[in-house]
Amino acid sequence: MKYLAIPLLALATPAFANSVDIVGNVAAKCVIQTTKTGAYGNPTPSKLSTSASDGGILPEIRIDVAIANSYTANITYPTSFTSSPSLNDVVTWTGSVAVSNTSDAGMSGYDSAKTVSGATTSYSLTTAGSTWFAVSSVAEYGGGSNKPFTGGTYIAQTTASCIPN
Amino acid sequence: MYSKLKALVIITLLGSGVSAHEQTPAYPKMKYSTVKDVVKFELSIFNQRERVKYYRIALFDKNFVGLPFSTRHRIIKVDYQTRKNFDVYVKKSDMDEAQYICTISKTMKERGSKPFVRSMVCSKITGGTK
Repeated sequence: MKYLAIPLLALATPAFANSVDIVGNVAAKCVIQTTKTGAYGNPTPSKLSTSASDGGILPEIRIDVAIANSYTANITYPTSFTSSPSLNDVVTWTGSVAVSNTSDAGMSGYDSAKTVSGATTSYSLTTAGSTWFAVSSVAEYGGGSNKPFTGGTYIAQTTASCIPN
Repeated sequence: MYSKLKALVIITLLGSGVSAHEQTPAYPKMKYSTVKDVVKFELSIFNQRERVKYYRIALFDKNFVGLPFSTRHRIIKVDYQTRKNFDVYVKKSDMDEAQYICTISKTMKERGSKPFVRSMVCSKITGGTK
């Protein structure tokens, strides 16, 4: 019986509570997210467009910033194809970038404060949180002569950049 | 017919899932390297873009003109949902001009696998030797 007491005493040893720290750090950070992959519609033989009314899909990019006033977002619509069939005439590119959604009411002025330089639109991200940007892109072939695009797959890329201030 | 349509809708929704590119820190600290007159910056990239596996590292001045630098691999493979640390070495003499270290998503030449969005996230390296 007394030998049984030894393991029982061992079991009775008090368990010391041990706390484990979980450390987090919120620092200036920018995350670029592709929330919707775009696609070109082909409403007429000479036109490729991401507009929904033309049968396309507008690509949507979400940019998250952890700290206000720490980043500028530059978004550039395509001005060339990264992959296409051989083309022997001019492609005219147009496009635009607009805020499509925000996580904070303080971002409501982003579109009116944006600056546009050529194909690039710049937004000063003055509020922490998420902003969604929709990018429209139109490519027209033939320099106004409505020349039909050659059959094949066309790929273009829009560029989203996060630049610290 | 209806069940086929429903399946198609679900696949479309899955295909439009969020994918992200992140680079930290925003303002990396300059560290001295073991090589004379060369400084080092330690950075980290996190890839949540399922269709992107490769990123190019670049060093730019304030006008985004490329500058010389050294690193283990200029194009790094970062698997989906993984983080990769990398070091960038810059000559002290270039620190007057160097301003941004960026990672830029690369796309494969495989047909039909190209994402529509190219992402570039930069860190600012001011306060160097100047």
